[in-house]
Amino acid sequence: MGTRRSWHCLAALVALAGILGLSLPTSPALAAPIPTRAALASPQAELAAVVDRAEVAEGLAALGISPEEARRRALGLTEGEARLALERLDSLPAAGSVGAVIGAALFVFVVLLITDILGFTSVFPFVKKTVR
Amino acid sequence: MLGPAPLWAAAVAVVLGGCGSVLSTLRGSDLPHRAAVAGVPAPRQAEDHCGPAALSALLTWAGRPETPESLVPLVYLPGRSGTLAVDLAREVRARGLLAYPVAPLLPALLAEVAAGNPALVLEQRGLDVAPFWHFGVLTGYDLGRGTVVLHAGAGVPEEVAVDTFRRTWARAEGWALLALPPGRLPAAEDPAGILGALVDLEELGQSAAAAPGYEAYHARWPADWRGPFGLGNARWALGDLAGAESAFRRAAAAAPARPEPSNNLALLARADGRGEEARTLARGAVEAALALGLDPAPFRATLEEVGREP
Repeated sequence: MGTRRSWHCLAALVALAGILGLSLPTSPALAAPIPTRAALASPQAELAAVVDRAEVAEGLAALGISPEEARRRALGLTEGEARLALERLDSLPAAGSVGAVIGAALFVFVVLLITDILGFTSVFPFVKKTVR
Repeated sequence: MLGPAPLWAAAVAVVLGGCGSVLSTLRGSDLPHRAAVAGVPAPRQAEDHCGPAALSALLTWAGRPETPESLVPLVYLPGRSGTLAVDLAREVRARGLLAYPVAPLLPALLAEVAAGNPALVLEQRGLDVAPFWHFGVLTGYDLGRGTVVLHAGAGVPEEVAVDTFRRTWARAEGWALLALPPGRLPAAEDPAGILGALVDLEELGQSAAAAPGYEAYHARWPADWRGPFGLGNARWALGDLAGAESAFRRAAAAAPARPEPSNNLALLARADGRGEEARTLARGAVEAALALGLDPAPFRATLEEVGREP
């Protein structure tokens, strides 16, 4: 009875280890070429945890592209860009058209027209830019 | 409702006018008085598609012609009715081009144009209360006329006052990106930034495009061991073991105190059946790492590996 219980216990532990992805300890580090990034002053990969690209893709897919395309886009980014897309996706500027002022309020239209003429903004193509 | 607008604009003018004209500073610098990059198309953009239009113009200049329409599914984000800058950088690299972010300083940007490198630029053409984000390609400038030339979706080149562009560009945090063909480097004296851009290219599976870049880097900064070191890794990834070895040897000669070139040379020597040489190199790498105070673990792993009987 006792041996049978301990056998069950061992089997459970082995199964648990399998589930958790544990394996028997091997050599602490595998011999590998030193990558070029390690020669940079601040290898970013060592400073912070690796960005989860699946999470980046999820955020992009919520903005109207297919999950496959979102995955392709997320995987093609550098680590720094992926971090940006993960942490600041809502605030990153998305640039589109320059003439989309139609829906703007008249007040905004007039202000922009004047600032355009003064050369502080560059919204309306029909405004002759001030050249000094 | 309309009454306060001119007053408000006048107040804005006073605040911004306080910055003074950037033009006199630029005229006094050693920038050429005018520059124009040829070979950049000026496509007319479809609604919301300034990103694909600007990208297609720059890619075409760089020898990777694409239409704006073919780029829409790759960079446009319907949920944001626009394109993110990171998506443009990715498509530049995906075509084996070096994606280099220019420093957010107008003289640095114009210096690239003067060197013949057009730049993808992000502008915020409106005001903070009514933002209008816009991508375009900066292809030229004329300090005499006080203008820059943008290919910004109008179908024809657009001439904008330098002072206006300085403001709209600064409002977009001075974002500018070069897309350079293999082996061509930015004009900027920025070894760290250029090396970082080369590593980004190499890590995204573009070793064939990164290799000539590392060679150009080595030709420009011959004392820097990281140029030939990157070249060695890029050649190794391409399966050119003999070429990788000669590059790593150049790196080791440029910086005998660094452990990284010896580590990689040790693994190549072992793969070539030169066990004794591999062990000597690996031992040297561990000692060099300890002397420099680097984490010796990866170098010890190599020593252990090459120390085993094959």
